[in-house]
Amino acid sequence: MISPARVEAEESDLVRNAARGDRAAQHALFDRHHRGVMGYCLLACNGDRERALELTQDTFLRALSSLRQLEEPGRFRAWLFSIAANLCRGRGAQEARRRELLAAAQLSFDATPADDDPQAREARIAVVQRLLSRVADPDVRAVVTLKYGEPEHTTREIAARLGLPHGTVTSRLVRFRAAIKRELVRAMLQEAS
Amino acid sequence: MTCGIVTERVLEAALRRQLPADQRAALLRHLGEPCEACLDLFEGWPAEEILAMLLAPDDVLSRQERERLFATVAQPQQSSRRLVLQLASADRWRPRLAWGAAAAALAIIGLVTVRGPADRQGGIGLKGAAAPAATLVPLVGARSPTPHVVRALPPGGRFATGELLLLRIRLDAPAWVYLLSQKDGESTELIWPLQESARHEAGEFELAESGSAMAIDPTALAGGGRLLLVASPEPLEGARLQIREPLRTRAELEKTFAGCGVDLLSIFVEPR
Repeated sequence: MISPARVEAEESDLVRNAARGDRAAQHALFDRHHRGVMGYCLLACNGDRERALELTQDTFLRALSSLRQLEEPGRFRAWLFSIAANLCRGRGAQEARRRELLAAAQLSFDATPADDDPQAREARIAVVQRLLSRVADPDVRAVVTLKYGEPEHTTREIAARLGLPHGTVTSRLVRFRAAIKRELVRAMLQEAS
Repeated sequence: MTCGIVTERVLEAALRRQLPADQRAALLRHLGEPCEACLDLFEGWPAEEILAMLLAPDDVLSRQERERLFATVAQPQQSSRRLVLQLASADRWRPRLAWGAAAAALAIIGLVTVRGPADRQGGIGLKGAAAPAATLVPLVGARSPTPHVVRALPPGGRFATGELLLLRIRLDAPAWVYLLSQKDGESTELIWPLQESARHEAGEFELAESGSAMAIDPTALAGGGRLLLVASPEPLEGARLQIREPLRTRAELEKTFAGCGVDLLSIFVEPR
């Protein structure tokens, strides 16, 4: 299995090259993420394929044309899904009944929309609280509470506060994101029943 | 540790809506319970895949849709656009070459200095018998009212504000010609040709494309940078032209592009 750090480093290179106009690098980023973005947009549009396609197009257009503004190339994926979330919400493609599902999807990508509105934030907190009740590991719970609590903390701040190596904090968040993915599958399967 | 209920096979079948009802009910019940073994499985499963399988299990986009979509979102070489300005018809400035004639009319303020390599006069990048000799001939261009060459640029020459660098390329043998830029601390970037590369005959020609003269805005290399000319007997792949290591000297350039004719111009932007 390729380590997440290696994947991140590889993606950082792709992002830097894509920002310079390297078409192959842009294509590679598109290939890696179009399924997820389209999936997210389908979720937001309640399966309306044409609308999801349009939102996917706008998401990549915005992302690829503003790559130079991305300060941390390794965070491309989270940034891309933040753009998708903002676009979906800005265009009303976010049904109220799916707000928590979308919040869960955003959390699974570690994406926090820049113009986070109170409703989106409430949905995110609700998802985190519900999920926390199903996370058995107290170490993971401690990190998650600081990450998504009030106020939210960065992983570096959490590491300093709990006296943990930064890598330990991020691996515990990876664990929590696994719980988010499990919840996403549960909720979607339930909805389909 | 593996979970007895949630396995990769079961999960895939559920996502593809192919799981029998009783197994599906058991799976749903279990997904609501804390189970560390389940989390091991989900940890290695990208969220993108889960979403895609849940919402469009067969294929999210067909190959044609993907290519069409990508074609609408792909971005051109942004920095090249900034560095290389497309001026006007190359024919418009060629007849107006006026070596040194208008230099006196321009206020030289010492903003940008262009310098060739120390060994420039001594030779022109030959590496073995097959390598074509290639030279960059820098000229200072005025931006307005119409782009035109106002003077030649000697080593150590300076630009006035708003002046542009126009380049002529001299070859002693046919070659595929590439012009790269490299800012200090960055990889090289192909700035010409903008479109398809082409084989050039021996002789002297302008940096032009599709009938338009290309001018370099030297201030785009603020902080220090170089223009690198590579003349290859064979076409070069894009990846071969992307070099991370600094190419500050002719020797470094020759080593990197063995068998090619090379030349370079260093550009310094001095504090006012």
